[in-house]
Amino acid sequence: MEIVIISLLAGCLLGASNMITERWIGHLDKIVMIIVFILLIAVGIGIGSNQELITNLTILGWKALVIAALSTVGSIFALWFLVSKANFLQNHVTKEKQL
Amino acid sequence: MKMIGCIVAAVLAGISLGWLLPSVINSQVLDNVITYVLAAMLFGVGISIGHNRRELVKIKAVGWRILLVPLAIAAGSLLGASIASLFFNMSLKEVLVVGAGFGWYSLSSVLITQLYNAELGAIAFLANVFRELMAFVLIPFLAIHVGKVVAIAPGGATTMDSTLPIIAKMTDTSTAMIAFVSGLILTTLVPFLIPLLLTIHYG
Repeated sequence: MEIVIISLLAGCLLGASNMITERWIGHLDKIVMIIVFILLIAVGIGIGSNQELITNLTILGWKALVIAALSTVGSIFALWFLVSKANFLQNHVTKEKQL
Repeated sequence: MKMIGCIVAAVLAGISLGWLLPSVINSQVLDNVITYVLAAMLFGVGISIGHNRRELVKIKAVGWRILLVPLAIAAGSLLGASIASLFFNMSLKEVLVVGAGFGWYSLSSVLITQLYNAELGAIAFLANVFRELMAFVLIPFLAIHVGKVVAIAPGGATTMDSTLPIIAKMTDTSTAMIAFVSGLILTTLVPFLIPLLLTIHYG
């Protein structure tokens, strides 16, 4: 799994260098999108070939929905709390209004 | 929304393929393929992050305190997810790891499948797709009724790409910029946080 982290860091270095032009970034987005689809199909194959997983798919979906809802609500409350305490975020919004 | 349809279709296509031809699939080979494709994807994502960082240096108005936004989103997500362990037969570690995807379904599901098990990987995939879907609905609502900056929260790691157009449309340029920085930091955090949470022994 180290290879994954290493390739992320190598990508960051390459991206931060001046070797990549704006035009290539456009192509890159498309390539990454294609790779994501290959990954999703592969993940699907892994799930589909696992009989136990398939029979439990509705239970998994229910768990996933609850975890997603709780983490989304948690992040909204945390950021709402931060915004109410940190005046730099409020200033930023007022400044925008004045402009 | 078209994108979400394509994503769900791809996973369903994979599931039917795996279900119809289980004997053809060699799980060891599939694992290796996934790891290398994953590495290729993160290499590409890394290039975007590195390239964008170079762009961000130009924006001097953003102080270091902007880091508090992704930190609050990360802490809130993990805290919220941890509550789920009270309802289900899942350990604190498992729910935290799912929550730590911050909406990045493609990476979190694969990482968790490879490092832990396929069941939690499937939960992570669904949970993070649901999170992105909820973000699409919640961003306009929060932007209008609660506050522009708060509208960044539901998007998590996706506020640097898929949900950024909606934030930009519903708020203003500087909020969109905060959203982008926040998404960038959360995106960078995911591949480190998930393996880290999986190595810790608790619960």
